[in-house]
Amino acid sequence: MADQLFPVPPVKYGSLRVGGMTLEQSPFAETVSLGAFLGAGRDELVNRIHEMFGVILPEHPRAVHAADGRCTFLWNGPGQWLAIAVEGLGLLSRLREVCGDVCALTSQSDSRAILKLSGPNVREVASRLVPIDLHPRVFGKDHVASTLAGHIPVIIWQTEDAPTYLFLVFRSLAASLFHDFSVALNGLSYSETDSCV
Amino acid sequence: MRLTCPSCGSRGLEEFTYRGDASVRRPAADASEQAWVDYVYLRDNPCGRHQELWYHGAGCRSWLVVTRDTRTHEIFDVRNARDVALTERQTDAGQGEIA
Amino acid sequence: MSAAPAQIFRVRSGNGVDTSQTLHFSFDGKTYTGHPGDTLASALLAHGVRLFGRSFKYHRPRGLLSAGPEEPNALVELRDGARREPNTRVTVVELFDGLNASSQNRWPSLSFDALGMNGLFTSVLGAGFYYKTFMWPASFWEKLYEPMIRRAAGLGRAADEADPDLYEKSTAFCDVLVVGSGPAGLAAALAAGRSGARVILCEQDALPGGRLRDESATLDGKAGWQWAEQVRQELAGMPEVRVMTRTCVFGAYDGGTYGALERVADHVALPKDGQPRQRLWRIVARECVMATGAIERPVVFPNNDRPGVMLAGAVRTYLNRFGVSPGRKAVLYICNDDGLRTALDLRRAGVAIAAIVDSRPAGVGGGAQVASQCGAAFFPGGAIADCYGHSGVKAVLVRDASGKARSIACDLVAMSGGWSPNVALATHLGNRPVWHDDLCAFLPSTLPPGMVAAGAAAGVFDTAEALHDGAVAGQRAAVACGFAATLPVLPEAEPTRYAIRALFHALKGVPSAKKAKAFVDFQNDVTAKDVALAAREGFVSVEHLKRYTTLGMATDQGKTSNINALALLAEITERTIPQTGTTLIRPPVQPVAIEALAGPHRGTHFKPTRLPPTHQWAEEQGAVFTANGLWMRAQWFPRSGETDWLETVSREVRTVREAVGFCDVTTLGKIDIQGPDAAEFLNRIYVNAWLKLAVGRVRYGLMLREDGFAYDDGTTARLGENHYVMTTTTANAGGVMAHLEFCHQWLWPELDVQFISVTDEWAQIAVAGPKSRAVLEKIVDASFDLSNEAFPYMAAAELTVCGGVAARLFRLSFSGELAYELAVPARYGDALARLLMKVGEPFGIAPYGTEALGVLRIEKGHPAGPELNGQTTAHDLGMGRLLSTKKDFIGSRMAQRPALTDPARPTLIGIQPVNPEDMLVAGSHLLPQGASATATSDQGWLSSVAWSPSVGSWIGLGFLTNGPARKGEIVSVHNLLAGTIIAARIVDPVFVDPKGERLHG
Repeated sequence: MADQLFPVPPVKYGSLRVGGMTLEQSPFAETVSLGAFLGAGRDELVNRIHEMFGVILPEHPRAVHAADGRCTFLWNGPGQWLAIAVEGLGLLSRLREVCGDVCALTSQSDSRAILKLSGPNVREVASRLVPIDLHPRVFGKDHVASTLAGHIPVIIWQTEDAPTYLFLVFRSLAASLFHDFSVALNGLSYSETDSCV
Repeated sequence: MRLTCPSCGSRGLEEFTYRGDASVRRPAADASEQAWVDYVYLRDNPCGRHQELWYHGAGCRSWLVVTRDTRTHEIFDVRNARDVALTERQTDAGQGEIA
Repeated sequence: MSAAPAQIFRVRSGNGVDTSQTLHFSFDGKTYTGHPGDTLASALLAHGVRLFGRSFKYHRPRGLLSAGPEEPNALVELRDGARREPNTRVTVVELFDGLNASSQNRWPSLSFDALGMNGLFTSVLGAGFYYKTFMWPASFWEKLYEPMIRRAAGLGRAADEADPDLYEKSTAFCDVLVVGSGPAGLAAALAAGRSGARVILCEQDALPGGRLRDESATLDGKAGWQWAEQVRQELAGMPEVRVMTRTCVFGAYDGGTYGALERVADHVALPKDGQPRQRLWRIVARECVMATGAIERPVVFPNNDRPGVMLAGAVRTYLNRFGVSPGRKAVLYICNDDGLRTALDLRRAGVAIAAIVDSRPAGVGGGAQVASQCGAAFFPGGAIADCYGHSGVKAVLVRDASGKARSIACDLVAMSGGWSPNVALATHLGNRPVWHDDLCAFLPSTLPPGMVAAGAAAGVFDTAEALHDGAVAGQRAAVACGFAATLPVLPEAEPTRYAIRALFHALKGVPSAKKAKAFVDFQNDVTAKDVALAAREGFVSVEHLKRYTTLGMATDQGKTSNINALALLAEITERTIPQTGTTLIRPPVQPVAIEALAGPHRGTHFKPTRLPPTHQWAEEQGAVFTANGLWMRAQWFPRSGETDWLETVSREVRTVREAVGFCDVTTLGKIDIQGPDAAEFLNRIYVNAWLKLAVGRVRYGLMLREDGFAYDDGTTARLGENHYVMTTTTANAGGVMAHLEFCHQWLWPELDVQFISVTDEWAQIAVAGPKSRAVLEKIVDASFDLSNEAFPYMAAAELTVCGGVAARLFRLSFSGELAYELAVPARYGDALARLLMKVGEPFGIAPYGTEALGVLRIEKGHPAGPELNGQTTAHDLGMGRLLSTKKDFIGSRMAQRPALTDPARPTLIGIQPVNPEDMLVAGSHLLPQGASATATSDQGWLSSVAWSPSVGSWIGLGFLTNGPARKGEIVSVHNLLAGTIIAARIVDPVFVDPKGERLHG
């Protein structure tokens, strides 16, 4: 009967290609939030994640990758992180074993959809909606930011040097964000006067 | 206007919401009704430097204590409200020991 | 349409026009030709068109005053239909093939205007006429005065349809923003750009160069515009420099933020598919070089508004940039040497100079020499005393230094009262500019942080000096941002002389000045006499003058008029200009369309939409949707044969009461709360006690605001020792989250607790009705015991469904029936709805929407949004007993105030019409029977109503003074909007199963 509960992605459209750029929905990932408890909790959490995943949880808005490359930790506010891994690795139960006593662990796998924007000029497209400085002197690979895309709260994460952005957006708002980016993509591709910095 | 969030950096006003005077403190439960009325309703409206609470709701969800000039919107200082509150508690506790 | 007339005034080639191509356009139905690079102004002028519009108040014929965005006169309606754009300045409209424009504020035609007679009623329309003439009787205002004024005075007509074009918003960041690409701006951008700093150079025009395109003067022996092109190319090759043409920086805001409007597709007939028409930029700059140039001042003399009276600098623009001469025979009226350039340029173009009238005394400036070069009569110390020609200048009356007057025939008057630095951006944040007598100009003094003025905007009018000034400003700005910038080698500019002597008007000793109109503000038709009248009536503050005369309040914001007005007022009141003051300039520097400010956030995209996980399925079911905050929720699910919504909703309600229904309640806020102090935290947030809630149980909680009034409510389940999940109302989900963060970070940082929103994580579906358990038995995995004993009312559990899918189950009931809320990961929400339909079919299952949800909760007496309206207390909601007296919680102290617990406060009651046929309307007031309908008799109101299929009549919840004690009493329900009064009985708010037996079944 399990097959009767089939998963449905948050955005029903597939992907959109405009001017060599692609907007697409990333496959489901397993996402877990970590919120350090007080006292020794935070240091202990950092230690244990370091021991188990070989990575230091970032103090600033950055993404760091576990030594085995199978899991990434995103800064998500003071003392808070998001761990993201491909599905099927049992991330939540693994984290419970490692650090369930020193931090709050909450599944966010279905809370957020991930929209991926890639191709030339995506920084310009992103700047139509995102009000933060995405210039490489300021925002580079594995920088993340909690901010807005238009009116929609997002976490933006740059995953490549030639910018590719992932937008972590609340599932219920994913279709709206997809629409807003499709408008920005179309506007850019047809505009003669745009000089893309 | 822009605020520099201690965690997120310089951000536009649209990411923040304003709460008001950061110098008032929640009275004890058994404090006088007047103390509570002051806390809930009465606010100064200073011309010049003002410590105020802002919420970075569209960012890292931190509450911030911002020192702003109400005439020029010059921002002198932005701190995490949580750090400010914890420091105050430590100071209060320290003073208690001395006393 | 008639054949295109020849461009007889195109006397030479202009540096900004490509005459190898011809464009066709129409103005007032007549076809003309022009070339790429032309503006609508230059193209019409090339054909000898001089009459462009009628003035605002007096409907006087008006021509071009300027060649730039400061134009007050020549406003037209551009394009047509949904794209009709009123009040468009022809001086900034780039010509495109097929352009269609028409003059405005004229009837029936531009050359003959019936309301031109307004000029005969000048005494009525003088300063303050709005305040004086139309004061009484008040009833005349709406019916007579306003329509009359709107027809007579006024500018263009807005389009009647919605704008079909797209608008975008964008944000850009830079180290150095350079506003304006004249000599100073280009030099600044070059100095900053070469250092590697991130530079944005904004130019409102389509071409860079500023006055370099307008003047015949050379740089390094070549035309100035060629240097501008060369710099533009160098800048374009710099990876960190962005040159934005057609982009007007319209405002300076706090924190180094600037607003700019990019006209992406205004210069073409239609934007391409998907292309925005305009783009609104927010530019955040660490440093800003304001190189916005200067605006030439007209001179106030009688009839100075005749078509053909033009700014001297604008004449040079038409000649040099567009190759168009605005006339055949010119008279110059100047007070500085800059204006003399116009004589030389006209002469070179073969235009006759009849006279040079120089207000400066003989021997000051180079007028005599230029006059002899041009073969023009020279009048040092002279003035223009009048101007003749109804729809175009035919002659001027020149008064020489001795006072002798003579008439001189001409068709063009080129005037220069000097140049006003364009300091608008420097004043947007409240910094007042300072008057400099030597330059006859206001210059910026204190500037906003990070901003510096350069070139003509800073009063540096000489080209060589402006280049240097700009380069230094650009260099310093880059250095301030940490870049090692050097001064670029600058081209050699021809030396210039300004030698200005103040000239604002020519009215002293002019006999005709008493009668004739000498215009100060062309766009709002404010004359020198209006200024004098205002001063006489006591409006001697410049702020009062502005509002009383409407001076400077037109769409041009008085760019050409403010300083002349100020000078006049100063003179009349015998003060200096600094003593008289100046008004501040507000953004925007140029008009910005509302559409551009809205950007893409229009129509259904005005705000984002949140879709619950079952949305697509609900659409397939034919659900009718309603907006609930940002959420789109199914309101009801009509079935074929149902005639109206009430029939559908009543059927849905009956299904829940008699069989089983389900409803997506994902939209309720869900917050995951964990930590050793989680229980203590909840204890301080909610009014009731939380420390003893057992794992696996749910409790209802009420939150107050700190002022003691009810804020939000919901249920919170304890899932583990230190693990809770809270639900909030849909409307307050975001607010409660911020509230919890506030309490945790600011009030009680010592509490060890963490929380995060899980609203989107779980698809939560309420399954309600006597057969809900039977349906769920088909879904939850067999290992889970659903029996009433094992999983009673207010139980909560983490379990698996459908063979191993992690889920959460809560035995909660909003309807009063046996009910559950089942949560599955959101990705399965859609499938869960489909599965419920399938497995529930034998039990008669049906989905229900928010409307039935509302009816069910009203029947059960549950307060919701209309009851928790921010003005009600726990006591009012019948929950006074929940307030714990043993602990401190948010609102605990203030809720104890006597006024908040007064039993006479309106308190929650149920209400039922005495006559079952009567309908109840929410918002109705409750009064004692027979009491007069006055505020003093008012005893409460109806907050929520529904037609109850279970009761068989309308029912309502409301608040009534001493409510609970008045059960059985009959009151009057006043619907003041409809004017109806019905009798209704006060009853218990719980209409269905008051003992709660079904909940526990």
